[in-house]
This record gives sequence, structure tokens and C-alpha cells, in this order.
Amino acid sequence: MSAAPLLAVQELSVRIERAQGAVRPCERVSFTLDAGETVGLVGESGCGKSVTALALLGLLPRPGGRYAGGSIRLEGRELVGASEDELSRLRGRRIAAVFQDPGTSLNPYLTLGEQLVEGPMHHLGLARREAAARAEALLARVGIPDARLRLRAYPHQLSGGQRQRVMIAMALACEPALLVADEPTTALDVTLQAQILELLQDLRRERGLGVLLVSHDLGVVAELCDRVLVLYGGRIVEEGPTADVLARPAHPYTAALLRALPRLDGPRAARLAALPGLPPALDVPAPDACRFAPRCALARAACLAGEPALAPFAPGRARRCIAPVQEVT
Amino acid sequence: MTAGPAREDRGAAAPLLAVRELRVWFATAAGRVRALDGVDLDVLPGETLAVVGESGCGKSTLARAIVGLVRAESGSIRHRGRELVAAERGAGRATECTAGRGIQLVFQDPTASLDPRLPIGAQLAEALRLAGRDAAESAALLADVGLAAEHASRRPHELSGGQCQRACIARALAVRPELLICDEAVSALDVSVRAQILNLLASLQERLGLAILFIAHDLAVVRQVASRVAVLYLGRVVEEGPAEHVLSAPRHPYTQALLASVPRLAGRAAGPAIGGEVPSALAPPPGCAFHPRCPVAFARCSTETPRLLPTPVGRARCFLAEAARAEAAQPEP
Repeated sequence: MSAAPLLAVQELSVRIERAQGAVRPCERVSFTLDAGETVGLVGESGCGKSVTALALLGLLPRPGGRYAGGSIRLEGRELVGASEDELSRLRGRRIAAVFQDPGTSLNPYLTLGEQLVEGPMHHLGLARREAAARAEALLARVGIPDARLRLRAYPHQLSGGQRQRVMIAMALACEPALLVADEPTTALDVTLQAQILELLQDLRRERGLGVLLVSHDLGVVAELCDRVLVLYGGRIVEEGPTADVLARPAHPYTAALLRALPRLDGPRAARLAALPGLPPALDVPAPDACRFAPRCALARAACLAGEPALAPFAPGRARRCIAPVQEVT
Repeated sequence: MTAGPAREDRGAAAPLLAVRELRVWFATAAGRVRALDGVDLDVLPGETLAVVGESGCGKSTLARAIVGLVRAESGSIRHRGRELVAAERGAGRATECTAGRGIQLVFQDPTASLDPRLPIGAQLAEALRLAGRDAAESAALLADVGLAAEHASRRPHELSGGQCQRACIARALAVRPELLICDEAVSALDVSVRAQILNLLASLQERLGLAILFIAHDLAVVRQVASRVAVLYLGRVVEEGPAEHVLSAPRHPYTQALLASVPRLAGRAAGPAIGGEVPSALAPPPGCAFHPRCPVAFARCSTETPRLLPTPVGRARCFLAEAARAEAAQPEP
């Protein structure tokens, strides 16, 4: 691909300074995302996926969060070190976010209409009437019935699934190029989840929207994402095309996650292959060793002698592991 | 298999818990919410019965009604033949009664169900004392759930979510329960920890002969743990049967839609299986409550309520399943 990617993240690190020491939830993370592409960021709680995703919007954990190096380029513009003014102009306008809990992301005191016109009036300079027309069209597009009436409704008058649709409508109100979706369907039932995933698919096809999907659910990622990045201990440990990674994981952590996952298809094992131990704490200095080694069935002496680099091993794929690929898959 | 093991014929093993026509109503400003509207279920000794359905279908209300945390409007819950509903009208008394008689509840959020100020060991000791057992047995309880002796001195915030859930299970085991009700007990846990807790439940069940009522929305998890599955929709059982049948050859269109909505690792080509959302239990649709969302509904479904009738392997509340059974019962020409 010759054109610059929509998003290019290079060696991004985030620190959270605490009295007890620095937390490192995102360590030298690099990836790109093209227009119309959906990339999944997966991993268990505390692996740094949300911090990494929110850092793209200039939203760092408070108190104490800061960029500790690296670069985020959105449509060629550098975001690390950009002023708060500059970031405010981009947020909502070129990069937007949808969060897990639609209940707490909407203002309970304002009608949907009031919340939906705010972005376009502020960022695009639309008049209220134009913005309201756009809001109505958006609500209809995300599948809210009686859109015109609903503009006058308050968030509590909607169901959880409808609130999440409104959040997506609001995120798309200024036609951003990149949508960061942080566990957008985790709070929803499977039937509603399927509807929201379908909506995100359609919007990306219609608008060439780039989507960074943060999820702990490998099924959701399989359904929506072209490529997947697996995070462990604040680092990317594996990346590649989703179907390929899920069918032939090349990092022992990815393989272990997949084995620990109950399935609806295939034979049912009497016991799940549970991964022993817990994910690493991010608030202690990491030794120069593979962070997964203490839980890894394939660990060897060399794993403790230095952290493996994230190295390509097949077209489009990379992993942070020194064990032979055949042994992992 | 010729004779379908309908509820009546399954009677060989007397149920540990028999729920009949259970109704739980909540009075709200907007009117009466029929959270449970005639639930029929059996839990057999030593089995795992999963109760599934979307939010608001009544899963948690069922769990709470069984332990007496909410009052039943009508119907019956019999534990080893003894009635829990009619005899115990006050909610508090029923709880005491069920705890004393071996029904325990494990909740979704383990940190919220432990006392934040007390070390785990003290919380287990308290549960043991209330059950009339020696508080010193808490070390054995910790070992039972895979916690180390040193965890006894820790407070909940010093433990991980998985460790807290182990502590909750240990506390439930203090009364030597026959029935453990797990209300979304692994839903808040990560994949690797969830697998550990599911394996723990399976080994406890084997070792102690526990029956488990497993309330969950994740059908893949249900397939892993359940011997039987009951599907709730708007406060009623719409399908029930052996897990392998319900999850691979569902009879009710709602179960079919739920299964088709689950994202698969191999990718799911089709779009959403059903539109819409669960209607409000304030004003349930007439006829079959699922008919407004049902892709195969016909005129009768909106006027007449189907009964929960036996299918070849379980029960289903659907006119189409009834018709299929009637057809299968026709003699060969």
C-alpha cells in the first residue's frame, strides 16, 4: 500500500506515575490501521488494551498518566505532544469513541437531540436546524424507530441496546475517519450484540470508517476484525489476520487463551485447558524476560534471558516468542 | 429412543428441587411486572441445570425466589418434597430456611458479595459457625476451592477477582449444600480465570455430589457445564431438555435465535438472527410472548398461548414443536 495509513502508531508507551511506582500499561506498541479496516485489540483484564486505545484519543489515565515515548499519527498528524486544543478539535471530528457502558456515557439531563447536535454544531459549524436534521437521519440509520420523536427522549427512556445505538450515532455525527470502540457490546445480550456488530460492519462498508475494536471476546473479534493484535502485560505478543491467528496461533498465550475458551461447536472436553496463574502486574518493573514465561508450558531458559522481539515470521504475521512455531500451534 | 423422558417419566430420580407454576410479581409505579409468570422446573440431585435467556427474562429472579430473597406471588418450590413458598411467607425466614437446608447462592460480582473489611478466613469462620460447624475447618474449605492457607489472612481487595470468587464458593460450601445456585458466577471473569473456576465447579460437583443451578447468558459456557438447559423468555420456560439436544438441535425459535446470535471463532456469515429486544414484562405480548420477534410466527401465535409440552427429548412451548410431535406420532402409512 502506497498511501499513508489512516492511523500509524509507533513504539507508543504510556506510564501512570503513582506514589508506589510507575505502572506500564502500554509498552512500545506499534501498529497501523487503514481506512475501512477493523483491527481488534484483545487480551484479558489488565493487559493494557483500554489504556492503549484511549491513549489514541489523548485520553490518559488520571492522575499520573503520560505518554512515555512513541508516536501516534492520525491522517499524518502527530497526536503525541499535540496541544489540548488541537486534540479537542480532532476528537469527535476525525477520531471518535464508543464505550462499554452506554448508560454512563450519555448525559442523563439532556435529550438525545440536544446531545446529538452538539458535535456537528461545534465541530462543523452547522446551524441547530441542520444539525437536528442530521441527528434524526443518524438515529434512523442506527436503527432507532421513530427517530424524530426520539430526539426529544431522555437516555433513561431507552433500553440498553438503544442507548448503545445512540452512542454510535453520536460518535459518527461528525463523520470521523476512525472509531475507537472499547468493548461496545460487552454489556449487551447476544441478540443485541449481533445487531450492533452488524451495524458496525455496515457503517464501515458504507463510510470507509476505520475501526479499532477493543474486546476480550475472541468470538466478537473473529466476526468483525480483519486483523488482530493480542496484548499481554502491556505488550503486543502476536498479530496477524484474524482468521489466521485464531486458527493457527503462534504465541503460547494466544494458544492458551483459545484452549481455555468454551466452545459451542466441536467436541466438548470434560475439563477446559485452564491457563494457570494470573496475568502479570503492570506496576512492578518488568524483568528483561518474556512476560508470559512464568505461565508458559513451552518456557525454556532462553525465555528468561531477554524479552523476545516482536518478529515477523510469515506474511502479515508477527509474534514475540522464541519457541518454534510448530510447537505452539 | 421411543418414550420421551418427559417430566412425568423422569420421576425415577426424585427431584431435589421442584418448581411449579412459580409466579413472582413486582409492583412498580408503572404497573405490575410479571418477572416470573408460571415457571416449571426440576433440579435433580447431582446434576447441573443451566437457566439461560436474555437480560430481563427472569433468570436472577428465579434464583432469588428459590432462596427466598424475593417473595413468590403463587406457585410452589419444593425442596426434597418440603414446600418453601407457602410455609415461609416472610422473605427473611425463607432465606434462613434454605441456607440451613443446603441451598446456597453464588453471585456474579465476588468482590461485592464479600465483606471488604474482614479477612477471608474470618468470613469463612463466620459461615461455618452459623452452619454449626467448627470454625477451624476454614483451612479445609480454602483447600477445597484451590486457595492457599495464607489467603485466609487477606482481605478481598488483596485478592484477584478469580480468588474472590473461589472464596465465595468456599463460603457457600460451609453449609455443606446440596444445591449451589450460580447466578452469572463466572460472567465477570476473564477467559483464563473463568476456565479455572468452571473446572473447580466441575470437580466440586464430582467430589461432593452437588447439584448446580447455573444461571448464565453465555451459551458456550453453558455447553461446557450443563447436563440440562432451560430457556426462559419473559418469565416463562420456553424450552427445556438435555444440554446436547437444546444446544445443537433447539426446538424453540427463540433458542434457535439465541444460538445463531453467538459469535463464532470461525466467523458467522449471517446477519443478526432476530431483531428487536425483549418486550417489557409490564405489558407482555398476547399469545406466545415471543411472537413479535419470531421469524416463523403465524396468526395463532398472537392470539393463543402455547403450552410447555413434551418433545421427543425435552419440552418446548411452541405450536410448531407441537405440530412436529403430532406429525411424528402419526403411524407410518
